[in-house]
Parts: sequence; C-alpha cells; structure tokens
Amino acid sequence: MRKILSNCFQYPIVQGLLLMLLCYSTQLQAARPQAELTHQIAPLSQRVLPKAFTLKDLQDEPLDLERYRGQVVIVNFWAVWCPPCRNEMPSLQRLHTIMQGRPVVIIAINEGEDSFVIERYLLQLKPSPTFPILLDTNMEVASQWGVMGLPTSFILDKQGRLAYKAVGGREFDHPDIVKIIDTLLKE
Amino acid sequence: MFRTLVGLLMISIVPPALSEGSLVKHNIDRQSGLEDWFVEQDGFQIHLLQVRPDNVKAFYLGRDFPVEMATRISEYCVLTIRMRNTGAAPASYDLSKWEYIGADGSPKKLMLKEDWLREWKKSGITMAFTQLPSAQTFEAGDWNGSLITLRLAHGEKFTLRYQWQRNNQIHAGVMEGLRCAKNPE
Repeated sequence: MRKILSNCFQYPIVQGLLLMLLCYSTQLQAARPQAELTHQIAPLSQRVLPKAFTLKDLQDEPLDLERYRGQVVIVNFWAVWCPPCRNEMPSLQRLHTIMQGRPVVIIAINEGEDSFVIERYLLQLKPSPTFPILLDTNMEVASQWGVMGLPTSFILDKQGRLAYKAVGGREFDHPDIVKIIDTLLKE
Repeated sequence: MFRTLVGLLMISIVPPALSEGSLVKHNIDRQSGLEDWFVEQDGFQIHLLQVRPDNVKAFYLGRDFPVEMATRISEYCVLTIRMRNTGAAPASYDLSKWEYIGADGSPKKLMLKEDWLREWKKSGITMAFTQLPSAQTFEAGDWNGSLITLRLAHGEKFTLRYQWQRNNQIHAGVMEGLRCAKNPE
C-alpha cells in the first residue's frame, strides 16, 4: 500500500492536485471570519457634552469625569464576559503607555460585574492595566451615554465633548487612532 | 488505485463551505463540532455561530441569572451573531424585519431583546448587553456581537431572511441550511 502511494506521488498530476488542495485549505483559513479588532473610528457629526458621572473605582474611590476637563479622554465601556472587550484591553494599556506624560486619559467602565471577577481578569493581563477601571454597577451611565452593545468607546475632546465613537473592538494603539488623539490634542 | 486517489482528491477540493448558497460560507469546528455561517455582501458582514444549550445556561448562570431564567433561555435556540460594517458609509439593521423559517415552514419573527428585558425586569435582572440590540446603526468600521434567540427546537434546521440598510437602500439576503445547536448525546 505504502509503495503504491509513493508511486502515485511521482505523477505530476497528483503533485499538482495536492498543491491545489494545500492552496485551497490555506485560502479557507484566510477566508475564515475572525472577531478581529479594527482601527477605524468615526467622528460624531455633532460634538456634545455627555451626561456627567461619578463612579467608584476598584478601590471604592469615587472618580468624577469632570476632573479630566482640558485633557483628551478615552472612555471604554466593557465587561469581562465580552470577548472583543478582552481582546482590545491590552491595546488600551499600550496606548496608555504611549501617551504617558501627555494630557490623555483612559477610563474603562465595567458594566455590571463583581469587582472580584474584574480584578481576577485584570491580574491575568501582562501588564495589568494601570488606568482607572470604574464600576457602572447598575449600568446607568452606559444607558445615559446611549451604549447599546459592548465594547463601545468614546473619545472626548479637551472641552469634554464627545468627538468620536467606536462600536466593537479596536486596536487602540494603532497609528490611525494615535493620529486622531494627536489631532484632538492640537485643537 | 490511482484513479481512486485522484477521485478522492477531486472531491476534497470541491468547496463544501459554499454549499449553502453562493455567498454563505459554512464551517464546522473540528474540535467542538459547532457550526457557523458567514456572509459578506456590499460591505456588510453577518456571522452566525451555534451555541450549545448547556453553554447558554452556563453563560447566564455566570451572569448571576436565576437558575430558572438561565434554564428557560437555554431552552430556546440561541446563536451568537456578529455584524460588521466594512463599507465606507453607515449601515443599519432592524431585527424586527428579519424572519426565520423552521421545520413547520412558516416564517416567524426573532425574539427581540425587548421581549427578554420585559421578562428579566420582573426578576430584577438588569444585564441588558447579552442580547443583540434590536436595531442599530454602524458607522464605518463598527461591529457588534451578541446573542439572538429563535423559538426553535435544539438541532432544528432553519432558513434566515435578513436585511440591512445603507443610504436608504435595503439589502436583503437568505441564509439557508442553518441549524440550532444541541447538547452532545
């Protein structure tokens, strides 16, 4: 049997068919849709002030959005159970590192999960996020900001107005997004 | 033997993924056996993935849903859906305009997020994000994934009639040969 098979592989037509099969399977892999992160973020047609909020962080300390007026703020609504939220979280930390020393703030608002669940997840990340993680326990802020699905992120200009909105996971340290933030910083 | 080998190879390179319609790609995960279906048309992607009833129940129990409610949700046909706007202009969908046709042959509407929220509110549940918003507009690059619920039996085959809109133009399509997941026997 082994001999017959090895003889078969000497025929160019068999080699060609095997090559076609290999190409086809590779194409299938490439065509398989993935929940990959994108880097497009649409500007909002009108910049308006969002509803102000004060939420507690994981250390039970209240944090007021107003304190960041004059800085560009990225507000990310997320949950541990949401796969694209987990996928994009490391890129938020990388953006945070890139923007060190500049007036850029990242705030991740968790939707309705227990702080133990959140902390357990964050500790698995290397590096673990060093920007504020706030608790929207009853999901009121998400509702007030018109968040329909997770993750949803907003970029606020220095006047505290909603400037950009992204529904779905993003690669936040992508040059296109860094460029948007740079532009907002120059305004 | 040689002819058999060539024949087998010829069969194996016929694309099975395209068997459900010219645009729909069908895949079966080798490890889990779960099926998924993907369609991309005019800059809009729809990806449906089976979720086993046990996984649905575990997911909702993990979100602190009462056992009765988690069990009840898992008794339906629940699928993960991801939609993505890959076009340059905004695109919207409205699930209330979608229909599915199961074994009985009659078109039915999807169970919407609002239907669940009414029930969950009675039980004091506020976790709203686990079901796909009934209607949504995606800007260029936006996408969203969540769960949808169909009133079908586990393992039942169905056809989905979907539609979405861009620049006031309705794009409609059909995904055939879809199937609800069932627990392993």
